[in-house]
Amino acid sequence: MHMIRKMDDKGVAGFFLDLPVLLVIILAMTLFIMTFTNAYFDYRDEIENMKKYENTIDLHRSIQMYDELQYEYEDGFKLGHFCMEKLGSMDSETIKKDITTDSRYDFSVIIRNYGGEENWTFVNEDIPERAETYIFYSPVTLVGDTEYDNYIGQLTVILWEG
Amino acid sequence: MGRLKNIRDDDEGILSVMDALIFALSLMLVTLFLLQMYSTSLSRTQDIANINIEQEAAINIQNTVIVHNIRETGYEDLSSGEFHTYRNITVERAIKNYLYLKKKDATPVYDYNLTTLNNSIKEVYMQTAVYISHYHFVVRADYEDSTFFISDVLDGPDELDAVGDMSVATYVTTLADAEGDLRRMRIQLYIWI
Repeated sequence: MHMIRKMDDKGVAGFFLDLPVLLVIILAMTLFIMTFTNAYFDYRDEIENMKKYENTIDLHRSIQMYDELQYEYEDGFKLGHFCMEKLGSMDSETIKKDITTDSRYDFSVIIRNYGGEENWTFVNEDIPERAETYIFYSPVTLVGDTEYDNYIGQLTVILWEG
Repeated sequence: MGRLKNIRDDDEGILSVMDALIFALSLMLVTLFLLQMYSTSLSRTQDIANINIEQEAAINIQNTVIVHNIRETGYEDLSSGEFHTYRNITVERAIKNYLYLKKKDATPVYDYNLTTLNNSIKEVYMQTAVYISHYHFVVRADYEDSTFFISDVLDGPDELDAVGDMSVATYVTTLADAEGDLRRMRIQLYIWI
């Protein structure tokens, strides 16, 4: 359905009569672009967050498999089985050198004996107060003097953008 | 100075207000459609990520628990009143012993109280699954007619169906049957938020 205008096809007034139409179109376009842009940025942020979280999980897995910290059984290493003696003598610089992640990120590794007092923190002991952190933790096994002398521990990896 | 010349076939506008509204409505529909697509794609990606995280957690919990050494536990032989103590026994071995004793307990000859053994195993799963990993859990293992079942929230295997999405980590081991032949058995851990 079209509105019929009482005018000829040359008058300047024709342009002004089209103004409401133009306004509706401009408004619709603006809303469309704003909503779409907003949704796109939200989506991109979410994807970015998930990537950071995946990085945290990958880092966590690297620590679980890090043989400089793992307990060596007769049949080799087991995922997430750490030797308490190795934990005590490990330094952050060695972990930093051996465990690599995207250079944009800093990370901290905390291993604690769930039922005991022992607590080991590596790489970065201080996390910036305002940093947006990504955390992944899991139970691990801490092995003492013999393989029967084992304890339940918790491995926590914290990652943030440096 | 050139004049603005509208190209039109008669004296009607290029676009009427109604046309513009239809146009705006179409844009809204397109926007909604695109947003829906984004939202579906995002939610699918997040679901997959969450499933992977939960699956990883189930494996980590099972790997930690199954080899964990219980310092001291045991069971009571009610017919003799004796308490049999196990020292330095892994959770895997404790579950196998539980199933074996439960099978014997079902016969009229034996009468055992397996509560201590059951609680020792449950305590290890509680620490790793609930306190450290923050999941609810069920552990189930079947050996012939015996069933081992523990959970932090459920009372029996029949309630398992009521739980929604769960991740499972299965540990396969062997246990000798009545003839002494080794039979495969599975210790299954189910976790959910």
